[in-house]
Amino acid sequence: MPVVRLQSVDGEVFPVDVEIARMSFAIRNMLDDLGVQDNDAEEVIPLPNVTGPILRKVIEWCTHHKDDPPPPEEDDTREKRTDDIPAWDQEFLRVDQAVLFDIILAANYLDIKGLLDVTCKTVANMIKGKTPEEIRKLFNIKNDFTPAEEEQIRKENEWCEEK
Amino acid sequence: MCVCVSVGAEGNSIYRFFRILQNTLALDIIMADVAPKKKREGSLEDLSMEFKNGFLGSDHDVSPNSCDECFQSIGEEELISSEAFQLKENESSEIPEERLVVYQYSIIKTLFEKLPIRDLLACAQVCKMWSEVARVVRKQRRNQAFLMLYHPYHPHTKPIVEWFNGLLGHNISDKAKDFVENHLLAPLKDSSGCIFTSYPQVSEQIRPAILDSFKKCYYEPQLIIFFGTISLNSYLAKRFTPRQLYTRHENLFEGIQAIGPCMAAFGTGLVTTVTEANESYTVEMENTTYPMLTGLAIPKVPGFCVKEFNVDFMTASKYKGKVDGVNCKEILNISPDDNVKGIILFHADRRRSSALSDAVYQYLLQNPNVALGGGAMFEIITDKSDDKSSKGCGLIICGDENVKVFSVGMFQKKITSNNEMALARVKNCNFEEEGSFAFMFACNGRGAGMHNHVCNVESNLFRKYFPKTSLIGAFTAGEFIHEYIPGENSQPPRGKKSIEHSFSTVFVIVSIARPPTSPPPHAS
Repeated sequence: MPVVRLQSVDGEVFPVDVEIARMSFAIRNMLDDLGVQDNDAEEVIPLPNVTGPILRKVIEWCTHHKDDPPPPEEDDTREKRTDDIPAWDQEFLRVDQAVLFDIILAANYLDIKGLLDVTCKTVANMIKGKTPEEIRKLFNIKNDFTPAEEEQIRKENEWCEEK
Repeated sequence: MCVCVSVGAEGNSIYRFFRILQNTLALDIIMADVAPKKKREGSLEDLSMEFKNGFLGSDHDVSPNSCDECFQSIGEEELISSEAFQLKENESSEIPEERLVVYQYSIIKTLFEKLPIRDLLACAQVCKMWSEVARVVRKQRRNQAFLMLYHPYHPHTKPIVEWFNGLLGHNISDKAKDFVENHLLAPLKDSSGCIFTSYPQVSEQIRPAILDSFKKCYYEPQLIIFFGTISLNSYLAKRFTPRQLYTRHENLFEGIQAIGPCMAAFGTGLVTTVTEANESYTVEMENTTYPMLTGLAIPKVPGFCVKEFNVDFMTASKYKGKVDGVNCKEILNISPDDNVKGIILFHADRRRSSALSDAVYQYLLQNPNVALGGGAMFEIITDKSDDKSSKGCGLIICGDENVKVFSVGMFQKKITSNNEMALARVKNCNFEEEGSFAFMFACNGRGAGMHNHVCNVESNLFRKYFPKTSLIGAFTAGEFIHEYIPGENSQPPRGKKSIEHSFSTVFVIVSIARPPTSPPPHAS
């Protein structure tokens, strides 16, 4: 199996099967642009936005999912289920919020749709049922509304609530 | 005076520091993110010194002293606990990565696309950036109609319907009999062996169950309509008091009225489409002693609007015998620019001729190319009726050229090729079936009693032709029908009585064609 070397921002180099590395559309494009041949094992792909520990996680995920069928051409507006995260992924994503967010950033940067999808599902499940204030606390987001704006936005986004 | 500073991404400590200054001193401070990744050096004290020095050269009347006051008002504890202070302690501190995630448009959008509408709206209230993304996601979501079903033995709908219908003398399969008697009804049996003791939990549990459906729903509705059995109607209010209607109203609608108008109609049976354990089928519940409620959330779709109308006793007597071609629109809540495609009409009693049916008749005389279906119900509750009893109510279905509303009746007492032809004619129109929904109102004299003790005959027939269409409805004591197929021309009704039928079934099918998803619709 041909191998490509991925280098994290902190200098760690990971030899990865080309087929696994190509699950990332960003790397796939880089390899195609570089015209990398199967036997160019010395080629190093620098990934300036991903740290070693996160890259290790990403490669682990891609390796586990390398034989998955390609995701169906999804209608972006269809109902998305979030209760169908496979057990392996649930276990894999049982990490600190900071690590989870780093994986999301890496999945987004490397353009790995399946990984971005499953991590966003995980975050969606964290949000479900929470109040705006609870969500702010959970993700450490600052409330940048003025009281008047907040009242207005609350009215516009009113929804059924148990009394 | 305006101060411009580079503070990095929103949410970081320096940003927050200037926000506090901005609020305390009421200054115009433009905070720009010019170098988000650059490591910041220096302590908070340095920063405050720089800030004060900045003022010294200005001609503004903010004195350096007011800056000191500002720092004092922030409080030392807050400074120590804030990350601004830690900036000095921890050399490697930069903007934490997780802060970046929550402000990345494409990631937040991907995340929001997965959220049920309730949670999407909660996220819209978190901060300005999320509010904007939520608005876009909410606008782009292609909402679909969805059905709800509530009864004490949910989700074992199939055997329970078969069993309760069987008590009326219809066929019950041994499988359903065994399942119900051994697994379902046992806990309800009292000492005398009677299974119809009570369902005391219904009145307490129905509202949380309804709220729960809306908390989990992905699609955004514009109006919600319920059909229930008479038994459920009486369980909604535990005691017979003058407030009973109000209590029923509270039990059904409180908490969900913020979403849109709500109404409920109770008849001598109900029709619904069930999806349980990956199987989808229609059921007709004809036994009114079992408390059962089904609901349809009509989706919010651009160019498609469903309005309610409601006539209380006062209005009904005011217009009695005086309905004409002009005031009929007022009674039906139709405004001049409504593009009316269909009408659903419910009457609260069997005496059908009234101001309301007169108004529908008058409207159809002028606008024969409008679909009509409905029936006389045992009771109706709307969120407009409060504790006043409603005489009649219904829906006005409006829409642009993408919205099609069909109505066809079955008048023969057996399923004949004639009856089937009506559905076949609709089928041949090749309308968009994906996401469509339909109402069925059938005379309570039809159902299994008319079809040789076989249940679900007419809903199954409908499903044979329209397997993707969600069917909901009720058994009625008299039906309102005006047949219309879009693209054809209907004759105006001949006489008031011609829209009032008995021993019939009417289907009203609502279809909304959607343009292809890409490019996504943009904010107008």
